[in-house]
Amino acid sequence: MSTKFRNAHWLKTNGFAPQVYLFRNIESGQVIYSQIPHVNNYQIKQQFFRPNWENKKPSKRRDLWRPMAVAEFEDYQRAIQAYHGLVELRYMREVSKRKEAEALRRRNEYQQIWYSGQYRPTWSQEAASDLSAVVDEFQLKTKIYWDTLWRKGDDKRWNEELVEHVEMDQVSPRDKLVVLDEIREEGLRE
Amino acid sequence: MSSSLRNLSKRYGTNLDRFPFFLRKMFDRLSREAQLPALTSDVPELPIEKRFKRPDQWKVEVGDRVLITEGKYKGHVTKVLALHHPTNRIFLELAETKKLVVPKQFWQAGQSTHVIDYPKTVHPSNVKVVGTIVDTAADGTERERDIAADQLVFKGEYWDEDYGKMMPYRRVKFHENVIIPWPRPEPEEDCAFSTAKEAAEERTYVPNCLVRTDAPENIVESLRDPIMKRAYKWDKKYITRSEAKRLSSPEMPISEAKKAMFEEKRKIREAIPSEPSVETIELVGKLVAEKLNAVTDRNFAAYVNSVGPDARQKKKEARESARKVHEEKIREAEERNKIKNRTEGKYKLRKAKKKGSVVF
Amino acid sequence: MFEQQVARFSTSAKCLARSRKGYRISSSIKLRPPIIPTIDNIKVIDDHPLWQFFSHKKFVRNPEEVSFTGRSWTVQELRRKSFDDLHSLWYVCLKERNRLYREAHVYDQAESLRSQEFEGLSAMIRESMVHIKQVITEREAALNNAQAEFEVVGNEYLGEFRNAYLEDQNVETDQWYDKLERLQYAIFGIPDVLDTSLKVDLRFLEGVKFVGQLKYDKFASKIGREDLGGLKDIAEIYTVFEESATAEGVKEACAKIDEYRESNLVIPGSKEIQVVQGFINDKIKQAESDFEETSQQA
Repeated sequence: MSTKFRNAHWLKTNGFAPQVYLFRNIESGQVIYSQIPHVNNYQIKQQFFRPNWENKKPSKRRDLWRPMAVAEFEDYQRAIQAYHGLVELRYMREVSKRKEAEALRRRNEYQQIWYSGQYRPTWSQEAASDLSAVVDEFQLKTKIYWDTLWRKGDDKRWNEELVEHVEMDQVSPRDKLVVLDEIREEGLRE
Repeated sequence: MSSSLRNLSKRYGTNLDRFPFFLRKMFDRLSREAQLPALTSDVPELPIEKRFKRPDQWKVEVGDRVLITEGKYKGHVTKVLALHHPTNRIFLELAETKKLVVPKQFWQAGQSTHVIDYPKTVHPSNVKVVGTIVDTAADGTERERDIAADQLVFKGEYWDEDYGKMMPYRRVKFHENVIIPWPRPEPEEDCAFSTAKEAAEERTYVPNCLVRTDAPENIVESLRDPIMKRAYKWDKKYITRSEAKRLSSPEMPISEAKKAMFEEKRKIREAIPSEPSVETIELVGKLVAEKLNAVTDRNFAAYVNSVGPDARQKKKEARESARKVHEEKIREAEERNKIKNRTEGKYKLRKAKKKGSVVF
Repeated sequence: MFEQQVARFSTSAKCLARSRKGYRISSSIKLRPPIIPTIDNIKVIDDHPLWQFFSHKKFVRNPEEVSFTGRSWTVQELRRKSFDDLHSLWYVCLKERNRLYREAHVYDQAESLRSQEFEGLSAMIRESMVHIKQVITEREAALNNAQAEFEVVGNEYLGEFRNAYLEDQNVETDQWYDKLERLQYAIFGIPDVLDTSLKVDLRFLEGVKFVGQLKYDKFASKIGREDLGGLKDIAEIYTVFEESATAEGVKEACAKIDEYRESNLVIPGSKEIQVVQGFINDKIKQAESDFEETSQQA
């Protein structure tokens, strides 16, 4: 179902809440934005520009993608707005404002993006930062469910008036999708 | 996984023992080459089974006074500072040093230069233990004297409270009444992981029942792998195939034809009589008797009689009787001599009395 | 209700020109630096189970803090310890090793050689744990051996004990009471104080029979109750077993047996275990109710 862009009407009629899902790759640390709680080739194709050895195109292996955060918005329109914003910011970071983004990334002694094994923490940190930027840009009232509040970072980086932070239930990775489903149901109720 | 966990597993860890000796030697050399010179010891480390474990192997303990018998400081008396277990060698207070270049991360407190003098180790065989004995001089004054033991023997042992174990008596060889006592070790403080002595020594279990111990039932099974198929090695009821093979002698790879041949030969060997039959003996006896009875030469006849079956016995008897006669003769001669001596003595006495005492 | 939306994110200039306002981020936006995660956001409860992997809630100890002067527990020392002691010592060791492994791993990751000091202590503790296992295994093996041995010499031993008891003039002494008590527990596993966890088995039954018969044989002629003609079934034997090992006690038991014989009941061999278990449960209940009464009165 997450194989193409879904408009607000489709989301509503198919029982999805006005939410944007952030999945992170536990191997590489890369993040995928999704309108519904699934990851597919569509998102990979849409969100990874100009891959190189540091930022390879990830696979869609389901065991590698873990929910990082779920951002809940007031209505479907705003959710889609935020989704577009996130994807566009990703495009800016990789293409149009690459130099600016590269300057912000942490480097190792050889001036490469800092890594340990395959893992580069900067991707998920940038995703969190982009989310805060989108919220501020469009002035969206948001409730963010974090996988762990650790990733939220400093409170100063978030607009306190707009954003509310919640932690997801701590369950084993096997049951993560159940938690996502519960969040979806809660989002529909509100 | 931390390295000790890795080492515990013989199967998955790198186990150098598996490699042949020359490869092990090569690995050892490579690892020594890769190390900084400061971190290598001049003497190679020994395998654990060759390291000293008992005080009678070390012969010295920390705090002992020793006489150096080899090297630059030959003849000096100094003290043992430490035992270096990996090489079976000792550190002395007065020792030759080598210049070491120490990387900054290993600098000791107060160190200001890369080059330091590092003491060399000494093998315990290159020192002699020094003891003190008390001499009593001729005028009764007591004087203490140092002795260095050429060789040591370890006989008998006693409980040493300070070492907390049985220690052998260190005696001077060929002077075993001279005991050089072990030095007193530095008292060790209890660390955070120590158990109090009282708690360690307290007895809380007395075996007093044949039916159960104080442990829950099946405790031993819980210590073992529940799905292990073979019997637990400590209580096996049967021997394995490999053990049976080891215990029984191997079968020779002999063909059936060869076995048949051996069997046939064995039967033939058994069929051959080991002793002559009665008929054979009689026949041979008859023939020999006929031949001997027909002898006419007297000398040859005498020889034949002398080697006859009863000749040996007759000879023995004759020798015995001759010996008896000889002994009887000796006895009689002795009797005679006694009588003769007595009469001669009497005669001499009488002669002397007649003549009176003669002064020469 | 819904306005027209952009179907797909597109990078072409045309699309960009056509796109509606409110769906695009202005190209003049300044990228924000990555948000660094902080542990300040996480609150860990004081009794979190994973704290057991930390020593005094410290991230890692200094190698100086784990320096040790002791040695591991020897088998000889552990042989003196009860199972409860061994069990708790095992877990003390296990938890300490968990802590040490975690800390050694931290040092390993930092490529520090100091992790060896943690591993040294860990190896020492492991030795204690190996010794604990050995002691437990050894005890069970000893028990099995003793049981096998008792199969061979047990009857002889019990016969000797029986003879000594019957031949002694005065068995109403503390020494004999203790001996009987020890024999009961050592050979038949009958504890002096019964509790609800007690399961009657063949061994137990054997013990009841041995001790009951012994007491009866000793005192029957003394108190002049040979008219009973021996003990008939397990209920009678248990009655004697239950009473104290004195002439007085056996006399009381005989009186009870008289009462019992009036009912003409005979217990078959197959029911013996059940019956004895019933007796014991009744006795425990009785004792409990007595205790409650006395405590209420107090």
